[in-house]
Amino acid sequence: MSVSAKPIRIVLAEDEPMIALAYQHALTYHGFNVTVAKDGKEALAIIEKERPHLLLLDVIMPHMNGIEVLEILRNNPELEKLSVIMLTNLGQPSDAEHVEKLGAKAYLIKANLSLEDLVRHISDALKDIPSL
Amino acid sequence: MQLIHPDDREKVGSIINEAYQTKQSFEFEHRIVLPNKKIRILHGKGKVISDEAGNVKAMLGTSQDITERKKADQALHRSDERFRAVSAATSDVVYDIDLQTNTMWFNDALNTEYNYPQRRTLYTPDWRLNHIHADDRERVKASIEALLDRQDKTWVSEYRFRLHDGTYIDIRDRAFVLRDTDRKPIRIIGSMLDISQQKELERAKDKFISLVSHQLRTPLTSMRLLTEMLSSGYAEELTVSQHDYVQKIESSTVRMIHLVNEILGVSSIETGRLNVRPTETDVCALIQTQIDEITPLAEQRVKITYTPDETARTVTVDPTLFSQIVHNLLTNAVRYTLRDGATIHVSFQKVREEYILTVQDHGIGIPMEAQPHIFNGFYRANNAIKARGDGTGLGLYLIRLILDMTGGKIWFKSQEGEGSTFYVSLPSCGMMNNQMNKAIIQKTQA
Repeated sequence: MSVSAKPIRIVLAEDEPMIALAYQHALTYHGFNVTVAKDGKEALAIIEKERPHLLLLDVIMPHMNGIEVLEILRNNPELEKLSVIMLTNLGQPSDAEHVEKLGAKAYLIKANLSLEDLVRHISDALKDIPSL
Repeated sequence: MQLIHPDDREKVGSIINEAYQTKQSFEFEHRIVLPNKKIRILHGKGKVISDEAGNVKAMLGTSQDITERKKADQALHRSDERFRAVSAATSDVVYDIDLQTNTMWFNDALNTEYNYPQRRTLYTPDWRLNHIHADDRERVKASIEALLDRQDKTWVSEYRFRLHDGTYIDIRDRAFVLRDTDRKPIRIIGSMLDISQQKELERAKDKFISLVSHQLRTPLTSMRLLTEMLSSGYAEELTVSQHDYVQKIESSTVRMIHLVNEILGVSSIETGRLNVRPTETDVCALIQTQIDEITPLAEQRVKITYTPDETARTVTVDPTLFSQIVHNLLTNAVRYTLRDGATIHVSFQKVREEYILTVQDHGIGIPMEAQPHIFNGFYRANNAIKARGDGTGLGLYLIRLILDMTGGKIWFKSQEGEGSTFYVSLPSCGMMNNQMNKAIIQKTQA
């Protein structure tokens, strides 16, 4: 996967700079092409432009939170199929249910996730994309 | 006349005299004194028989001992008085529903506490139902109907109730059903307690927990990821000692994350925020996953044996909560087994009407004096503290909370120095939904 001719494009929507730094660094190391968005609005703009294969979406972000972003994506016929992994440090089971209904591939607690775990979840999510 | 109580003789005499004069039928009550000095109450009635000319020919009458009935009436009167006194003294709204007339009596608190005007006529059960918040109404209605259908006597429910000014308060309603000799419900007597303040505290606690959860876990996540980058070769090569230090920081960070997670897990159950979602689950696969995950921690020091039982493969459980139970038991078994080469046995079987999960170790065991306390939050036995300084004392407590909420049980056999065997049982229907939630909240608040 990391050596495919066209690198896999991932948009990372994460407002916490240190977490964004670590994720971006590790994913780039594994051969992914990563663009970071610092809030929900910026994420939507980048997604429109870049048409990524996968979106890593934080829940608590300024301007527009991750759940709102996901709802907008699911109502856009061109983007509704985009694979999304939700990332959060909230532990609200009700959120998890809502996000499942909106078709996110996974709802992960960031604190419980090593970089290795994250890469594994991304690989699992990419397996389900038919064009890859 | 001799038997009649001296104080009643005059009254009885005058009633009979009057009847004699007016030739009307008569009725009265009086006391008599028996030869053994005991006093009884009699009810007498009679009529005067006269001829055509109007001359009295006879007086016919009967007398009945009504002492017991009088006592019962007095007792009833006293108990009614007591009910009214309690109703007047309390600030709870007390009600009494007459199911035959479909009316509902309230004490004065409906006026003094909830500001509804005093009424000459009684309220109705429908009036009360219509003042329950629309989102709660159907649930309460169904629950009252179910109560009347079942043979239960008591009922507890929580709902939002509209005050006269249109605002809502949180109510805990406890009621008691009175039934006739055919077990048909005839009255519901209950009290509506204002628990708004308590609910407000719960909401504040919820908010605080989710804030802490986010604010603590975010910097911990950064620490975890950045140390992992140092130790896993994303950065420049470290010296052996640098690598060692970084790994220690990393494992401390992960420990801190576990602690925050456990506290969050416990408080989400204690505040009733956790939703149990039982689904048909391949429990054997789930147990195997937990064993696979714990094996690196066991570092080949201990061996874990598990043979799946095909008769207990698919069971209705909440997969996350069941995994948590297995994980916590396995972690304890591995952590408190210090002898290399020891074996941990895991089994999950159907035994009669229950499913039993067993985790048996040959570790340090639980000292006798610690055994009554090990399911208490933050409690750790002395030998456990000595063996492993880094436990939280929340693992078994969390299991107990989960099982309390889902209808399961946990118990153990243990001998210090020999090892421990933990048993978890689930009813044959598997994990139940969080029906017990409120009971737990009340228990923890108490």
